[in-house]
Amino acid sequence: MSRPTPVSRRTRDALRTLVSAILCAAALVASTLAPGRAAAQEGLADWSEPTNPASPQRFALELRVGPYTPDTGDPVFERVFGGSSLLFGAEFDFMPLRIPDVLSLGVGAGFGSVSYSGKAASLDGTATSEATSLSLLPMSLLAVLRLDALPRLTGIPLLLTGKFGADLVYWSSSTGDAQDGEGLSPGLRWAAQAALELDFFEPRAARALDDEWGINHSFLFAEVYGSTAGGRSLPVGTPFAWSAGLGFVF
Amino acid sequence: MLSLAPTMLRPALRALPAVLGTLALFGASGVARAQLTVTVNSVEGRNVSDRPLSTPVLFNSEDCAGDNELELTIGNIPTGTTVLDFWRGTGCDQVEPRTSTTSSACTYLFSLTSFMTPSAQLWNDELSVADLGGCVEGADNTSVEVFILAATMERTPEMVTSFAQFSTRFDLVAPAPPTAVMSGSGNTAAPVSWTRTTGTINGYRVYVGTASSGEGGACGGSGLVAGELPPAGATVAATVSGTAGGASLDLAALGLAVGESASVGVVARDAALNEGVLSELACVTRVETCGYLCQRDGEVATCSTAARGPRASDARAAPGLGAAGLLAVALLSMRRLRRRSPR
Repeated sequence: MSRPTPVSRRTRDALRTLVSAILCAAALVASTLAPGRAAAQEGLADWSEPTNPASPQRFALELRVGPYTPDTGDPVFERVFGGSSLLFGAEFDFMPLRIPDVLSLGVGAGFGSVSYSGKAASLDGTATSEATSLSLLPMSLLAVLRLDALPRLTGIPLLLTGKFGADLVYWSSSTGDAQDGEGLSPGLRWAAQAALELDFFEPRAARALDDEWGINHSFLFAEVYGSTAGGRSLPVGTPFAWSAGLGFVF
Repeated sequence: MLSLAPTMLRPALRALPAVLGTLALFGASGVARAQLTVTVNSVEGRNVSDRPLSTPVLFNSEDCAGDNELELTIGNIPTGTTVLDFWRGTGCDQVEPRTSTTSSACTYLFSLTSFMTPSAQLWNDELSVADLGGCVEGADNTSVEVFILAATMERTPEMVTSFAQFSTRFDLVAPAPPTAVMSGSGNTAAPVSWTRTTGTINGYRVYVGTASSGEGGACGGSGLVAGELPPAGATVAATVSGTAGGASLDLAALGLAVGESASVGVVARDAALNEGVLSELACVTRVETCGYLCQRDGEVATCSTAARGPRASDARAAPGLGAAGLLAVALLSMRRLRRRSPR
């Protein structure tokens, strides 16, 4: 086996540092939220040598961000708001059906928020200084299928996930200090996700996180998705968008 | 001879405290006395919430206009003090300038002979801002020191029992107006922006003049004239502090109807809150606006202000509540799964 070059070693070290930082940050957040447990564990001499079996895994939490532009079917959106804004979201999955080391199946509930701001026009079409805005709060209920056979059986740290379900977007639009309108736009939503499991880089830290907090795996993911949200209300879905984020399986 | 001695000594003994105080005052060794304390309570015509009376007390052109009186409280007046002499200028803590008939460096102001010890209050036509001598055209942060000498006998410096001084500054130079004043149009609010004035600026004031206020202005008659002071009674639409480079005007509060315009001018205010002359004027117009939905639907009629409801402010909290809910559910689930089981 050839020795790794200095560059690749540096790259690997940097990656390990990043993963460690994420795992440590997750542990820190967890310990902050439950200081009693953290205090009880302070007496452990060597956290890197866990002796407990892995905790069960039935849930997943994903925190995401990505650009989003609704496909409103007219040029007004682009003219008024100029383009996309960042959509911040979270998703909680319940995965009761599981074939160990192969896949998990369950349901997920997602929630997000994005808003756009631009300038209103006067009735003759000239620009004014008054602000007009559109806020979207997408909510979704999805069937989730997560394949974890690759990392479990082959050691390749890649999780593949597919999602499909209902989408409901609450929208509201304001001009100045007055609300112009609000409504709910229903539709269907799909998503495909590829995730890089972080356990691969720091197995002992990942195992310790499981021992301490029941977090089985953490992963970085990229997701493509689409939504038909609109119906007879304002069309605020999009055929294609993407997001990226951090996820935990527990 | 012996009988005369007590008679001769009595005045000397009576003057001893004053002599000791004088020695302490002028740096010689002697018995130290507590200094007088001076508190400036108010300046006639000044809103102290706008311009606090912190030391050194800062006077502006508004203070110098008219005969605005100072109200002072002087404390720690030694027992036996019969007179409080007020001086202004430099070197008043020395006897020589005060006794000199030619020096103008230290100017006698007045004496207060009717007061109670240990605290005296001074007001009602006894000391005005103008008396301090700093109200000179062009005064730009000019310092004026005021000395108060307590004595047991009138106008006899050697009889000084205590003293105090307080510092004042006079700034009568108004800052230059901001430049590049721009304004916009809107239905409920319109922005006004400007390029900040260089130098030490405390803030800005935006004045508005409507057509009925008189002649001139960017929108026709307004009563405001660029390069001149705002007229008395001009409407202040906004006051901003610090280095702000803009303000938002509430058009409805200004009384503008849809379709009406008003001229706006901005003045800078320095640390003494001197207001300069008006900037170049700009024009704000209240117009009926058409937001995103209105433009999308092409339904101009829905853009009327009357058709709009209140802002759905509650909806703003929804993303945070939803995220918090998801996080709470996740954490609760995680805690329940703490029970160990084989993988």
